[in-house]
Amino acid sequence: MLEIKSLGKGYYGKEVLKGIDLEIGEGEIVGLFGENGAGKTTFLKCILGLLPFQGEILLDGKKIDKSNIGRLSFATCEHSFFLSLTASEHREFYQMHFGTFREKRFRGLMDFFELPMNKALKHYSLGQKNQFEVIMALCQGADYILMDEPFVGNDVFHREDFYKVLLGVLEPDETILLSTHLIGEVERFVGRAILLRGGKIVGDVDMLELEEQGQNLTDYIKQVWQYRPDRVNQVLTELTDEV
Amino acid sequence: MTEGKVRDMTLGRAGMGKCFLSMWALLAKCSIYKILAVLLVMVLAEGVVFSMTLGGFCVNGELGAGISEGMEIGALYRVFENRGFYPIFVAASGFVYFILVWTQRRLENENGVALQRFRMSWKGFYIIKAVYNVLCLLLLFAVQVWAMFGMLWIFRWEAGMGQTGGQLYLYAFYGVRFLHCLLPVADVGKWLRNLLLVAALAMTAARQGQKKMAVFLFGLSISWFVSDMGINVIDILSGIVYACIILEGILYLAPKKKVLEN
Amino acid sequence: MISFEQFVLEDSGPIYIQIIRYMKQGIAAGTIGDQEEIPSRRALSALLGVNPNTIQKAYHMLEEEGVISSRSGAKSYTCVDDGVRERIRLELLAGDTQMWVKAMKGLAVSKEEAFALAEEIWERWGEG
Repeated sequence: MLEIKSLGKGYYGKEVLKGIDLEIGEGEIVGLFGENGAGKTTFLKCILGLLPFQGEILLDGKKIDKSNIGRLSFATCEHSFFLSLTASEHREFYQMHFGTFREKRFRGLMDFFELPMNKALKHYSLGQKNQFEVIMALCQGADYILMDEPFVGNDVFHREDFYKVLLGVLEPDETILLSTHLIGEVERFVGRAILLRGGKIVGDVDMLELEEQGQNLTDYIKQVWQYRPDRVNQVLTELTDEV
Repeated sequence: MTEGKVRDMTLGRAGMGKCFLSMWALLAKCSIYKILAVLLVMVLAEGVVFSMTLGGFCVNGELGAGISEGMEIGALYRVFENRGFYPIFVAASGFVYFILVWTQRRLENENGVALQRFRMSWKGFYIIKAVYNVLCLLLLFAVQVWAMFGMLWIFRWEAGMGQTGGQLYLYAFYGVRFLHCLLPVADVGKWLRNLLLVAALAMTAARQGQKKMAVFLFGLSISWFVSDMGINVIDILSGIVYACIILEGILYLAPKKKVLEN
Repeated sequence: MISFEQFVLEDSGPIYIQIIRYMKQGIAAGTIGDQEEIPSRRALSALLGVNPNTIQKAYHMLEEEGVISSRSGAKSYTCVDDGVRERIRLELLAGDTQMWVKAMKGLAVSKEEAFALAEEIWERWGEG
């Protein structure tokens, strides 16, 4: 269980995260949505201990420090691997370092994405780098896998296939927290949606419940955002009148 | 939940050992082959210089035949005090040190975020880097010394000195200034200075944001390296500088509020 | 093993309902028999690209209706005898017919006109 209590984070006097309270249980697949600047990346980085923050973040009742950091993994578009090493060498490093590396899954995913094992990562294309970043996050042996917009630069077919593979390989005690703006695509994949706006959680909904109410995620988000669809008509009327 | 806790516990101390090893392997992968290549080139280049100077004693194609009996020590100094060895050593050390500084800086720059996610704290990693650097620099010295031993052995053989030639090594590492500074025979002061030098260089290379300091320190060390036997002013001065840097490097580890900025 | 290869997810309506309907249609049509193995929750979730909770809900509801049975940890199988099949068949028929009636009434068509239209289209399409 990941418990976040009264999480706050400020940069140079500006509050980026305000009083966030959240609990994420084992095995959940959670989508984190919000506009740019809503604080999604900051939020994820605080959980990983990459940024100092106010409040408390506990993993199974313990603070997150070097002793249990291995239970969290991170995939981000700011890639965090060693460009001069090959994929194979990364595997060796992770195996030695974390001791919980998922060897079989690694080989399977590398095959699935058709990534070369023995080429230095600096020779990978951007799409391949994204894929590798995600693979490492999934194979580290972490219980909580955090992903921050990991699919920038990958085409939709690769992404769809990837969600399916992920659903097939995930263990029941592995938790995913995925921050993305690809709402429609990810809607079926996640079991819970958390909406972040202005540094606060403005929505937290179970996807099945949403389905029962007959709403899809995009509608729900629009509703929470108090999105006004008549804005478009308004502007067009004004503009075409002038013309 | 229980599985996660079991995983934490089983990793425990055995895990930490492998964790250290993994950081070690990481450093090595990034730099050791380059360093070994530099050392190989250094030895080869010195070998060429050596054979050229030895060639000065060549008579009728027989190397060293021109060294007459009783004149061996004189010839030794002529060959081993040539102007070629030291510049080659300096260049090689420069490359080796540059490799250490550059690869470790690149690791921090490119992977600062990744390193924070690993199980090693920055202090632990700093210590590992410093120790690794010490070993690499000692390797540099060791290879140079062994190369000299090799060349001395060849010289002794060419000069036809046979059994009596044992003292040759002593004369070399005592009399030739460069060799003496490399392996200070009967010179405790110089040993100490060399150790301080290696430690100071290693620590500076291991720290972030000390590029200029590293360059400055290296330049200083090179200019101060070859000095006369015994303890002189230069040695004392350089020793003080190194000691200060080492102290600062140790204090760097002292607990303080390290602000992680994004 | 029951195949879901032909199953197409629509955008309309909850996914778990679509899955239940697919199973029931198979049972009613006779393509899904008794004691046939049902894909595991994880396998179906991966095949369709759908969160396992959705699959779980579908299976749970089918189990409550007695259409499938699963022992925890072991595989799940269909429990379809003639009685169950008939019940499901009628349930689906009633549902579809209800929708048709609703559509006709929505267009203000009389019962006679509706039946005449139905008969004509049935004939044109040959064997139902």
